[in-house]
Amino acid sequence: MLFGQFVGDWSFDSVEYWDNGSRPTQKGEIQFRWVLEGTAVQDVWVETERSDSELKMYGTTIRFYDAKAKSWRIIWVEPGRGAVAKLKAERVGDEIVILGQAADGSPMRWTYSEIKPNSFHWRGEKFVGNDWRAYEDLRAHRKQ
Amino acid sequence: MNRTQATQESIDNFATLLSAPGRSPEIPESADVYGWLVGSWALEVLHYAAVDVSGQHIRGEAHFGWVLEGRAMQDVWIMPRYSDRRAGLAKTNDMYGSTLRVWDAAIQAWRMRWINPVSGHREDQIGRRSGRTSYKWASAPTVR
Repeated sequence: MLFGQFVGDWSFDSVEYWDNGSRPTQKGEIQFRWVLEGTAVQDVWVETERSDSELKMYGTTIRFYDAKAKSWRIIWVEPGRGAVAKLKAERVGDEIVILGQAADGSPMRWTYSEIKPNSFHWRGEKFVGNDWRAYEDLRAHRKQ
Repeated sequence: MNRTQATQESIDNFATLLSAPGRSPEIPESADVYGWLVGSWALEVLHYAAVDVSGQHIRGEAHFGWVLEGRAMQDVWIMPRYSDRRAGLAKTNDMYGSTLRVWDAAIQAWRMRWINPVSGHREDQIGRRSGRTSYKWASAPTVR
């Protein structure tokens, strides 16, 4: 299962790339669990520390495999920043690529890469002009 | 008080991390359309998927709670009820799904996403109070 492999508890370190050039860093926790009779994987992403004074992220994702569409359907909500996003995921080589729309309507892409039993790399990008531009880069490690 | 330590203690459990004790003060009481639903409900299913099933005496259950620091609500709808579920249920009257509701101050309404992975059913809805006792909602087209 594309997302079942993440079930468990993780800690992360991340950095955001703001348009004004600032590079705030964050630390936080992610917990993934099977929910709804094992038909879906839900997570909670929580920032516990930020280098700036912005609101700490507190969001959740629910995803299930739609057999008819042969695709994972994903809902991401982060109410503090007005995010209620709908996305689709697919495996691309060794990576998981997730496409949707950011809160401002621009195309958004999330990529899980370097996926190992106890670590993964995640990056978030927005489509700006005619190219993808990273807005966040994150490394997660499974809690022992 | 060490905030990191407090956070560490509070995230030992997924449900604890996800759930919130009540509505966020950021959501005005006048916008609290769904808070009265918090708790667990036994359902007697009369109509489902536009079919009158009142003669079948189908029982279900629904559970509602505040999540994500009280900025959102999540529910779980189950039919037949949890204690009656077993392998090989007919898919026609089978539901084990969840809704996420997020208050969006910009549109003064609740943005809702419903998934029922059993059938692959999804709904996007907007909810707001309409009069004293009824609730207006609209369905938006789904992303393909």
